[in-house]
Amino acid sequence: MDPQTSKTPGWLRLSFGVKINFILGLGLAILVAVGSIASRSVESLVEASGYESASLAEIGSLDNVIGALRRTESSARKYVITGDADDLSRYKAVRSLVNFSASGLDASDGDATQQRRLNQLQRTVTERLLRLDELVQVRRERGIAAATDVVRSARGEEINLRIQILADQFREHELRGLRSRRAETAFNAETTSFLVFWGIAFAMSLLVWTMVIIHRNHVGRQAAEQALKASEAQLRLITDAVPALIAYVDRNDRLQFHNRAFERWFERSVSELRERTLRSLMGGAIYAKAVPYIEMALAGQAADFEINLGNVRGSEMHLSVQLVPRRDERRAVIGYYVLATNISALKEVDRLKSEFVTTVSHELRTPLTSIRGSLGLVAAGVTGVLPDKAKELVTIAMQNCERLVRLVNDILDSEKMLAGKMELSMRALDLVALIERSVLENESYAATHGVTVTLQIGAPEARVMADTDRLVQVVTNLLSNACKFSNKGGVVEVIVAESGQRARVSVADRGAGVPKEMQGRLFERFAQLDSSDARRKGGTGLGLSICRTIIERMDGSIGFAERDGGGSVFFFELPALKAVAGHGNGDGDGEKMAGES
Amino acid sequence: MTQALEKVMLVEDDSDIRTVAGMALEMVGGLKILACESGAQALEMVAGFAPQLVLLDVMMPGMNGPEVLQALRQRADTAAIPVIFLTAKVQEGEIAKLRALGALDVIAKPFDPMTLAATVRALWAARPNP
Repeated sequence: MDPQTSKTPGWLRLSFGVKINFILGLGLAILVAVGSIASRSVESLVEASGYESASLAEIGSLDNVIGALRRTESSARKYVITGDADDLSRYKAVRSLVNFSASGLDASDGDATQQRRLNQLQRTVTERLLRLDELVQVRRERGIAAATDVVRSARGEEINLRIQILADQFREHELRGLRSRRAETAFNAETTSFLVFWGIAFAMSLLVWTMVIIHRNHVGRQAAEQALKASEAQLRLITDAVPALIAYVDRNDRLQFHNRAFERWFERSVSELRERTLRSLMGGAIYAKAVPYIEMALAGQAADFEINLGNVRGSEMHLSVQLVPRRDERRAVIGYYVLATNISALKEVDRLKSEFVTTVSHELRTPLTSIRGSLGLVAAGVTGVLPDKAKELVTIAMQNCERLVRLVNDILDSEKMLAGKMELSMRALDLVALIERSVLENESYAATHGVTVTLQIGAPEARVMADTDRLVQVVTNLLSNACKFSNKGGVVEVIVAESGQRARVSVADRGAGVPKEMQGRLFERFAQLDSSDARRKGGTGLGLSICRTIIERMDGSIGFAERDGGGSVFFFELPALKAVAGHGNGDGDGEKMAGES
Repeated sequence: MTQALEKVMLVEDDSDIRTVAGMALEMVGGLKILACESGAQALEMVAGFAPQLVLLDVMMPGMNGPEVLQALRQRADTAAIPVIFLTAKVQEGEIAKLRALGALDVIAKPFDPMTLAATVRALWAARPNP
């Protein structure tokens, strides 16, 4: 794990987009909250202002009523003093104003106590007006003296006092309400101011933070882009220096990248190649051969194949092509890389090598035929009885001739297998019969080493799908190895068994065994236990490698194990065939076999 | 009853092999042999010798084995003579091609001189339409 990453808090490892969205969302939420608080505060201020206006208007109305009442009283008293009709008329006019003003009194915010006070005030004002009317009537009907008596009764003063008390209570209540509202409004305004200030400050902080993140991201992206450009330039330099054809093709078969060698081969410019389809470049027929491998790559599997590719000048090269799928972040295949190496020269060398090996082996066989034939006839006494010493020398010559023949055969086989040209004629066959035949054919060879071969049949009906000659070759090789490396007088055991779905043939000897360091590469080409010993034993170092190739081509496996008590066991296994119907003794051509493909 | 194999024509350009094979067939196998060093010589002498079987080398200067076989097949008096190829080219594909030309079988070089005659006799006995 990257130590830097492990120290970074989780939320900081979020992607750039998530961070920005989170910050902008938070900022927006804060702005909405601040706006909402400000809106409510303004509404509260407007409401408080309305209340204050209404309250002041009520107080003003009350003062108007009180003022009008006093002017009415003054008019009434003046009329009492003067008895003048004009003063009476003025009194009536002013009195009507009092009635009008008093009827308009109303508690602005529906306060029941204030409304009750106003109602009582209206009644008291009415009562006071009735007293004044009574005074005016006394003055008009009974003269100034009677009116003066009414004034002296001080009843009017008592009513005025009540009116004054009610008005003061009303006013005081309204002013107290106003002070309370003002205090509340002032508090709200301060709170709103505080919240708006800090909200905006926080939003500004977020904005600054966002800008910092964007800046860092921008700087990081610029650095990444520069690094990417440098990397691309380096990659371009490398790929252009490579003689192989390198390209990247998207899912739509369009060329998205290619190197210089690619351009040179197709003799087209970069602009001519851009977005071209691979099919149009290769030609339909050649492309069709590559389609199965392209489909494999687009399915997510790497694919290797060889193909002959021509260019516009008619040149042709043999290419070894590797297709490697490219995946996106979600692991979906979005295209594939192409690496095509020109192996025309290698192919030619390979062809020449095969031709050389074939020719040499043929040219070796011709003199070997004469040598082997001559020695065989001489050793057999066809040309007359040989002296013992001469017979011994001829036998040595014959054995080395046989060794040379095996070497030529092994080299040819090995070459054929390397070239993938080994042809097998697969057929269902009786494994026991084949092993018995092989043992019989090798008995004389075993005898030359003073070795006895025994056969144990644990699976008398074992049948396998195999190439007869090649399987005999394998058994002969294992038998001859076991005989060669056994001590004189030893016994080589051949065991045929069946385990599950596989038939197994083991060849066990009591020889010196295989050294540990050799066991891992026994089946490789030119692997010999000991070069000097192998030469003495007449090995080529190719036999086991050939055996492995043959057995694996038959869907089998070959192996080695150390034997308890000393010696080695070489074995091979092949898929066992189960007869659906009964089978005869011979090879099963045309016989319906279970498990055949 | 099947006639026993007695007369074999051996066509081989390599004189050493010709000698060895001839001795193996004559001295070990007891066969009467006419050894020819070329295809042309074989075609010239085949009528006079009237072999029951021709043992024919594949690679020879002048006419090669397959050409000699073709010439034999084109002549009424030799068309039915079984031919066994002798070859140092022992690849499966090459052997299959030679068999496809109409040869009775193919014997690979180097052969075992002590079993050569027996092999030839066995192939002769197992020939189709004897």
